[in-house]
Amino acid sequence: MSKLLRALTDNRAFKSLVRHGYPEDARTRALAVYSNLFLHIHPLKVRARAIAFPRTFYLGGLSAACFFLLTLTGVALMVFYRPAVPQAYQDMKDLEFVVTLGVFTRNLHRFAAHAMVALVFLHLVVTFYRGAYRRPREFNWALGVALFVLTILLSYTGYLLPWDQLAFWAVTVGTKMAAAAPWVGERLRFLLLGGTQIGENALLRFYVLHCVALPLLAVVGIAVHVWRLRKDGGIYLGPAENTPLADSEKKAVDHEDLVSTWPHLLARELVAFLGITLALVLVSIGFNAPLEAIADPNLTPNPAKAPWYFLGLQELLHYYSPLVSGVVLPGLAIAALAVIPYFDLNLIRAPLWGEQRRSRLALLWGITFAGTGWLIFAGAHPVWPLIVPLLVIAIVMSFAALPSPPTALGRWLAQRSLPFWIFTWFVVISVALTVIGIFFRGPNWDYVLPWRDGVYF
Amino acid sequence: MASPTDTEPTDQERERRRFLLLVGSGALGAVGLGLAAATLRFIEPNVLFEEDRRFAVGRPEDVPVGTVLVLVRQRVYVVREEKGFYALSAVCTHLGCITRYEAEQKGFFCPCHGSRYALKGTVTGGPAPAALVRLHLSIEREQLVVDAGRPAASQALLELPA
Repeated sequence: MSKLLRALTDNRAFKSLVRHGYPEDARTRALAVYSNLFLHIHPLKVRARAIAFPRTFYLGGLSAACFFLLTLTGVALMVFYRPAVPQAYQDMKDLEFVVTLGVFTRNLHRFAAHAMVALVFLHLVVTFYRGAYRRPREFNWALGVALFVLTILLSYTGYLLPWDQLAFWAVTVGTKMAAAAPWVGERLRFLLLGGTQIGENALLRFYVLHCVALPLLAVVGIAVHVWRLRKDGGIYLGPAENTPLADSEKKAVDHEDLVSTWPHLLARELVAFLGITLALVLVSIGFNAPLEAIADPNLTPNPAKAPWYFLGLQELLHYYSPLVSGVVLPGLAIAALAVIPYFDLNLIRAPLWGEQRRSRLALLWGITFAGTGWLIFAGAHPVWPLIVPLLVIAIVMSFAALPSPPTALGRWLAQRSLPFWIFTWFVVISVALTVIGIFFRGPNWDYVLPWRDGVYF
Repeated sequence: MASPTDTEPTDQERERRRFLLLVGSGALGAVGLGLAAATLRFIEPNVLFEEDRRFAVGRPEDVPVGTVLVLVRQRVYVVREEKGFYALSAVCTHLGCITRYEAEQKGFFCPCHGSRYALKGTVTGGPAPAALVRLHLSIEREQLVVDAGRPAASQALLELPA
């Protein structure tokens, strides 16, 4: 075996490509990373603790893997797709019935897109709870939030392309939401659609955004994101939450668990990539991406549902005007996410529940009651999925504010920062609204029980 | 041009360079803004190939009082009541889905977010922020003509006693 490997690598042709030969000792392993354009975004050595699976669940890497798969399958699909009415829909039918592996390729593209949205969201959540958003990583966190929005936009622009009923009505709802934005909304919708109706112009514009403009932005954004991760010290190992960061992080570098990137990190990356690829391939063999009847602007399906990651928003739209639920609330949520690290307090010096405990509790309940009142009276119906989490979190926060927390859990809760509570509320309500939108809403957007009435999805 | 050197600049030179830097980047920024505006203008279509939204419905005397005409292709309802006719856009004012006419409930209903409208177009439930838009109606050559591209006043009625 080793003779064969040597024969393959120990010759002029291979060495003109890879000067250092097959990497087997510390020097050549370092060179393998250092002298390779594609690998040199990695450091030469990484810490074993940093590349352990439970630290990050490799969510960022898996998102990037999805993006890679989406690029490959997307380019393949472009060969058979014309962004025109009604050819677009006919081409979907061709992919389904005429093209070898057409169904499979489309399934893989579709499911990788769903997976990427979910993985990027989970990546955001894990990064937050790990505390990896803090100084000096504020910018990279904000960039990550932008990439999350970009991922959703990529998926959403792709949603129109099949030109079926599902696509048409999801996009109708989405672009009307954009139109609700004050001052610029109508104009934005006009530019996005290239007209006043969703027609051929809109299809072509979504196609260009989906296949060229947004992927270019995503590639640049992902590259900067990974670069900044490297420059900000790699995977966050951080001291336990709530201690001053940055400096201590640098001092605490512990050289003992350094291992070479080749093969330790690269092998893990390869396995993670192969794992998600295998999972998506299996799903694509087992399930088919939906394709409904050709888009009919005169016939709204009942219920008309947006893509699943927008169903939380659609549920919100049931309660509030498009301006509030389509623009103001999501806009505030995204802005709040992006600025979180700039408002994170040093909790050792200024705990959330310190000397000003009473006044802060009063403020907390003042805001909670005002918020609950607004949530009840501003909308068409009381919005329980928003109110219940708000009250539960306010109650838990009040327990955390007890002068001497009785249990370990109480002490842990007492040390949580304000962004922790706000972020937790954001995660709970997004998940709750999305689950309700997916499973518990049926025809006429009335409540249904999925186990009794089936899932309208 | 002098060959490039790395000598330390004097304070005066530094000041001059900062001034030039600000002027230069300001100019580049202005050009950038201009390009962005030009790009926005470029992608804004000047000509739309969208269909004419004016169409004839038929002779008014053929429509008995109490009828609700559901014009699916045009996304318009035409209602005949005692005093005359009015036309409603079937597009939900919430997010643009097409409402349905429900005869037994005497109203219109949106499947997307559950908005309900009375026969007059007024909101009776759900998140819709406004009544269904009334459309311009006229009689031309004995035909009832709807202009779906032209909204009318909220109580507009083409008076034509039965």
